[in-house]
Amino acid sequence: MKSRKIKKHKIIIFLLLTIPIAYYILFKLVIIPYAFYISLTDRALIGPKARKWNFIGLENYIKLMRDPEFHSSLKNSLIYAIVCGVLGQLWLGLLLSQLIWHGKLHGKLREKLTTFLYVLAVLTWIMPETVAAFEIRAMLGRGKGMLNVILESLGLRPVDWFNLGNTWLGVPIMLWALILANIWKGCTFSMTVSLAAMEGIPQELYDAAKIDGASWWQQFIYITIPMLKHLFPFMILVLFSGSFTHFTFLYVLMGGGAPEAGLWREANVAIYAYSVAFAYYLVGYGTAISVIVMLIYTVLGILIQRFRR
Amino acid sequence: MIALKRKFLKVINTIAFYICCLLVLLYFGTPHLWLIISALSPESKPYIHLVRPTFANFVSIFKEHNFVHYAINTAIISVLGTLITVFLSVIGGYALHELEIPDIAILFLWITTFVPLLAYIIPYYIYLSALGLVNTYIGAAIVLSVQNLPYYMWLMKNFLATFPKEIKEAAMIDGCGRIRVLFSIIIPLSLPPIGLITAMAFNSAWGDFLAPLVLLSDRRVMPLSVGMFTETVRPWAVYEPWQYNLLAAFAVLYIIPPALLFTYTHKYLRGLAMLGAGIRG
Repeated sequence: MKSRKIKKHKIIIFLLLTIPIAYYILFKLVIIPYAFYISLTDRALIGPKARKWNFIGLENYIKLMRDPEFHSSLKNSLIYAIVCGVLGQLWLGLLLSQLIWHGKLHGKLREKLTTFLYVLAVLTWIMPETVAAFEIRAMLGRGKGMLNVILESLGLRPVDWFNLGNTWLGVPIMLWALILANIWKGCTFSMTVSLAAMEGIPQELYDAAKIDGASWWQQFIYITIPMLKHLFPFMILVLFSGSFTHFTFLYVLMGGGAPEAGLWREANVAIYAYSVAFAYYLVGYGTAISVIVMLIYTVLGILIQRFRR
Repeated sequence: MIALKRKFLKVINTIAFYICCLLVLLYFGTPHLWLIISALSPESKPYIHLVRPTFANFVSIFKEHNFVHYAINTAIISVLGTLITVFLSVIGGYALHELEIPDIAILFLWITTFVPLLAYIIPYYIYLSALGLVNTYIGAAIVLSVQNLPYYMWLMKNFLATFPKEIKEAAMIDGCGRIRVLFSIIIPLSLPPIGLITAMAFNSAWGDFLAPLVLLSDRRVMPLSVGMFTETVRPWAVYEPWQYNLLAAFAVLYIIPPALLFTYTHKYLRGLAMLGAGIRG
């Protein structure tokens, strides 16, 4: 009697589980095989090819191998993700957490100041990306951007940030501006992770260091970093995957209203795939790029899963 | 001598601390400050014009640029998406917990949450238009809610693992079914993680740009994130198509709900970051 009842309950619970799983499969997982199928065709978004398309095998992928625009967009994505995530967001976040931690322990005024910085950083993190992108655009804009207003009032020549001919270290200035902007927007993740982890560091270490006269950056280098090192692979992977196909910043900065005209397609793999599919209507080809991106992200997901603890 | 050196070092330390604070303040604060200045400045004047702030931009976006319409669209989409997310993640997390399914069994779901919407938006668009979900609220809500669902389920399951068994058992001895236990015991007692999931889902749905851009291109259903640009950017103005002051007014009002949400949920943020959220940058 009892076991039958338990069995019935188990079935009900199992049915409960199938609802979200089915939802997830129906609206997300099914896309993966579907995307692979579309990438093997020459389907278009509009026109005759949208209704009747041909199966062309791996031709899209072969075309991809030889596409110089795809290569440079992949290169730019990698630069963006590595400089943003691995060099920028990780270290700035760590430094910020050290600063806030330091302020917490050294008097009322410093605590207030660092709490304000914390709120500011978190606000930057949680606010919509479109707004962040708009703020950056308002800083860089051609005519009335803040940086150009300042440059002009100092009697200097304004910089055209959006001109892709302006390069530094062989990479357009635009990309550097975007990297700076993305560090600004995203470094709070590593800050919060390391702040939470710093509570696990024994306070005695810092006390001992202070007695020895260590300054706070010495404490940072010799205590905080070694104690948080085990989190680095996880943080680097998450930050990398967050920046690798960053879309909103670029898209909004480049145009907003009528972006297709001025969109810098090689800025990012994702932007390239988007513009191929929605501006040139080559859905099959765009999807082939998507499949590559999905593969990259699946590998990243597996790695993140491994390093999560 | 040593005491003097120590004092000197201390002064240097203090100065370095305040300089760092100032730099961080400048880096993080300037764009926000500039946003507020732009929202309050009239278009005809040059930007740095704090002498006579004006609210004309706000009046203009309400009167001429349909702010309310877009805000309502955004609210509908994000509330709908959040409701779906919370409901499904609660029942999913509960079921995972009750059936004692190990993490390894749902590993595949977990890994695919790391694939961002951007990576599959092209086939997704074709798929959803075949289902007739393009340019509908429910379609956008589905897209926004499905993205991180396994992650939220896992979050819920992890919380339930810390839940005292005795309460549940006592209820079941009194004759509660499992569903009844879920609704009258589990849910009221797990408001912190549910609140966290609600906040995260709402924030990401409220701020999302890509899904509305592709799936809600019709002005009737367009939310703020796309609408603020289509309303104010003038593509025909070659030199500077952006009307910064109007856009800034849009942006200031657009930011308010996430900011309010943050003030009530920032306590949980620490735990959230530890669990590996913030994946989307």
